[in-house]
Amino acid sequence: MSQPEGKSSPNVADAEGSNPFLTTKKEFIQSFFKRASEFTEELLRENERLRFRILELEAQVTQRPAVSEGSETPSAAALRELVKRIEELEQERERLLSRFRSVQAENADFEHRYKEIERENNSLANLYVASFQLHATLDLREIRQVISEILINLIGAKIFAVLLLDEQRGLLRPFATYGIDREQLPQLKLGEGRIGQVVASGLPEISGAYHGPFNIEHPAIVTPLRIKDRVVGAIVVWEFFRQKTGIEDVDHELFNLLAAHAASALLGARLSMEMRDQVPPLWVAADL
Amino acid sequence: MRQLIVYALSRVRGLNVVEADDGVDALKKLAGSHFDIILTDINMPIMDGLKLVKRVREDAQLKSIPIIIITTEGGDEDRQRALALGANAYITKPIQAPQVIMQVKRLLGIP
Repeated sequence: MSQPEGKSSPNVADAEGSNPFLTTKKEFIQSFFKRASEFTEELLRENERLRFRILELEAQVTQRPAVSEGSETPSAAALRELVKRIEELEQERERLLSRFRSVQAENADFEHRYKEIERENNSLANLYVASFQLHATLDLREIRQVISEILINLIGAKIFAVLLLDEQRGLLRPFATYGIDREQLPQLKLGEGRIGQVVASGLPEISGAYHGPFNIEHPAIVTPLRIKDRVVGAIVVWEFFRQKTGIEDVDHELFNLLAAHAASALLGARLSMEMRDQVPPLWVAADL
Repeated sequence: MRQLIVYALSRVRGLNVVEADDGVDALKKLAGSHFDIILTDINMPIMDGLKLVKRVREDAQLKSIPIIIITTEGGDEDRQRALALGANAYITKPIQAPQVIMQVKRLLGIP
């Protein structure tokens, strides 16, 4: 290193080890190289980190399924497959629901028919019992009792009368009463008043007023009693038990049965009573 | 209308029916025999149905037999009275065979 003659710098030492200028420069250079070294080491570390990161990413890519160029992504295909499966299951579900509804309707139909048959069965039982009772005796009092029992126990009548036609006088005379005394009944004439008119017509009448208030002129039901086409009396019901809510099919059948059979049962019993011991043996009928 | 009751009971498998004319007759028939259930009307001669229920419930041998009342009396007070005396079921007339069958099965635990 050189320096112009005659000029000195107060900041420069005279010997190498003692020259302050050189010392400063040396320190600067040392510092420069140190920092460069540190920077280089830092770069090496960053390089190492990045290489490691690249290896990680490569490993991740390797683990994924192979995808050929131009093909769809596997997730989209799987999704479409799933949608297709769902549609199939929906259709299957609809088919099953439809079948279920059909079976349910069939069951309801069977249940309805079963109830209908049960109802028929019970109606027939009622009719059988009523008919059997009516024709099981030739005793007038027993028949009167049977008619009353049918009306009370099988039909649910609370106030009623069984009237027989006195054809000579044109009067309807009480044969049996329930819930009302005979004396309470006014004289009923054929063709007069509501009851008399219905009996004269020969056709039953149902008013639909089942639970009163009691009015002798406004019965709930009037059913003429007949032997063939001839009217011989009537059953008049004014009121039913409070638990009875309406007239059902079986009630109509029972009234029809009484209309057709009560009178003939009464007539048979009446004839039997008149003939007493003169009743011919039944085998005589074989010669008719 | 015993016949209708008998018909209804005949629909319950395994039941044999013994009939009685009134409460006194029923007690005679109940004595010394085994019965599973009693069906009775309220309105009966000599001893009515409610007295029969009372007597059955007082009898150590008979008191556990279920009793069904079948009656024309459809009022709540009549029903309560019968049930308070010890009746197990209360059926009002007109007699409906399915109702009788249902109550008999219920009380006998028959499905």
